[in-house]
Amino acid sequence: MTTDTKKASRDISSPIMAALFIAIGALVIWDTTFYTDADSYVFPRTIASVMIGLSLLLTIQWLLGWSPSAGDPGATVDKSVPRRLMLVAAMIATALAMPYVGFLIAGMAAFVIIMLTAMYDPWTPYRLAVYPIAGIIIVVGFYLLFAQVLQVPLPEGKLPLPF
Amino acid sequence: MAAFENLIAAMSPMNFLLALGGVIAGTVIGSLPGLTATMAVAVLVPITFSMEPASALILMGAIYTGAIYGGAYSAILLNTPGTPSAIATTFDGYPMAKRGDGDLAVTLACIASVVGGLVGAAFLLILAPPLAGVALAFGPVEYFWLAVFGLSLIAALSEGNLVKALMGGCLGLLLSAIGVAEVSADIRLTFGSQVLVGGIETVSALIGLYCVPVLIDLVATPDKHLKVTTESKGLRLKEAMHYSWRGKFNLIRSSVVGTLVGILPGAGGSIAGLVAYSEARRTAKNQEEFGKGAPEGIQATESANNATVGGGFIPTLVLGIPGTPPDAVILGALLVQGVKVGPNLFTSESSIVYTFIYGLFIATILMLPTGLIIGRYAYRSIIAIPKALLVPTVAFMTLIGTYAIRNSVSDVVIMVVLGTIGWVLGRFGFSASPIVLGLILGSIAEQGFVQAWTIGAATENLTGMFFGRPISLAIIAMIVISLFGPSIVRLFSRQKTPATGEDHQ
Repeated sequence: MTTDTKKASRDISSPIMAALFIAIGALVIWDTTFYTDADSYVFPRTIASVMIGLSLLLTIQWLLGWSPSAGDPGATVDKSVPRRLMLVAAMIATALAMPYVGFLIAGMAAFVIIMLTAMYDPWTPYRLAVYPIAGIIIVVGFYLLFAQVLQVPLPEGKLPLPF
Repeated sequence: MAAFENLIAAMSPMNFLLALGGVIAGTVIGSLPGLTATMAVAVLVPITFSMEPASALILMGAIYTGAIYGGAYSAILLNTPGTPSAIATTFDGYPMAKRGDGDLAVTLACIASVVGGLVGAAFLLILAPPLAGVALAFGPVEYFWLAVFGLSLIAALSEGNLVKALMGGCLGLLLSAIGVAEVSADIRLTFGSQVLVGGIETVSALIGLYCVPVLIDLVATPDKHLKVTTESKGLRLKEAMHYSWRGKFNLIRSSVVGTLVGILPGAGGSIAGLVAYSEARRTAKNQEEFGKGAPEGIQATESANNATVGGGFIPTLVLGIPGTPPDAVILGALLVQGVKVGPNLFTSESSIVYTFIYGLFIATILMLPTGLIIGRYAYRSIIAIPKALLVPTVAFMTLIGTYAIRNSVSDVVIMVVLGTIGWVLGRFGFSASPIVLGLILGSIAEQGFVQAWTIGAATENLTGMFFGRPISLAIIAMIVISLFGPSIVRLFSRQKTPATGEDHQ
């Protein structure tokens, strides 16, 4: 058994992902049982069946030690997980807050939080002065471009503002 | 003589300025993730209502061609296709940018876009009426096989494990089925969620799957976004011209593919780019370099997607059937202007049509200097902006761009969630591209499949429906070659190598 093969057989992500895809496929097939028309279920049911078959094939590959590309789940180890989580949380929170506080305020808050999340350099007086101003220009500039020039009806918010 | 007059009319200062302004506006709008070529044309259509029909067409054609090219910037520099047409540009563009060749990639994309645009416009000028018949020769089953051909590219994008890539493709196909079924109006795979009833919007999914994983990885380390060489290399025009001359057959073939796919109503630049990419890879000697930063990949995609501009105008003007989504907007604008499209347009109102076609040539040629300058500026901006400003700026652009597509907060949430799922799947060896391919081609494949199945069942000739039509058979042959050709060639070369070795011994 070669080193690669040993590594592949030790890697348990393949069977876990295969199980996940089988579960998704089963869920899709279950959902298709409620459709009224054959036109609606032929395609998703066929694709879900193929996906389940491929997942089983992936499991067999793993059992035989033929899984050549296991990905790199350990790549996160030496990198900042909290920053990653903060970025995703900030983006989702911005989307959910938009209808309530308006796009402009939600966008500015997102910009500040993500800027702090992505900041690795020390905060010098120059950066403290320039970065927030640049952020305001970018957010307001894009807001005006979309809202005024492109006539996109961006959310204005429902909450009463203190100003 | 009439042709000369039309050329002079197209070169009038007003039309020249409209072509220039349209290309610049289109390039800038197209480069913003979330703003597609269709939106660029739609947003600027009202300006054209007060213009002469030929001038209006020139402006809209220039915006369209500029937007298709502009999509390459963010595809190359941010791994986010500015427009769906630029999906395949990310495959090699972003790896080139990461290794420090972003400037070369942008210049290559500009040259390829100009070549593609010119070939498409030439077909429109010379062969529009006969080529319009191609659109009518494609039935549902041909669209189905065309979508399958696009999906066969998954084999090329498998990054070592074909099974995982195919599983990703299936996941994308299932994602495309979410929402209201187009044929029967059943609500599918929403599991009671109102957020999913509208389905997954393709462009927002593209932004999520390509851009969010890049952002997630960017915030995790203090490393620079792109590798920056110490010395400025300028536009690297000479180098790009060398690659373009070396890849001239690839450029021409991809441009013809783009034109022909553009003629097919509903197919569009994304399929053109994918098919051309697949063909370029199949015929290349350096197949293993595709997906890792091969200039030929960018050349194929960018020439093909810009060729769809001219190609798409063929059925639009000759048959009144829009070849691509932006053509539908342009068709509407022409109807507002009182221009009757149809076979007689090229004779009864030839001055309008030919002035426009020459204007499209001028706009495409103008794209070379403007594209190079804007591209250079975009590249320098991306590498000069500190990460603490780049990441929130791109994140904000993804949020506002996704929202603007359908004015939907749900789309924004779906975009972020899909991007996060894409990142997690990426950790386990499932790359985003097969999922995206499935998502984009899913609706075309399903519509074609279901319609062909219905017709085949009604005529009691299912096998003949799927496998008995000449165009279908030609596409099936291309699929088989695309999927198994490289393996067969490798097999033969392996058999040949030991034999050669024995000869030496």
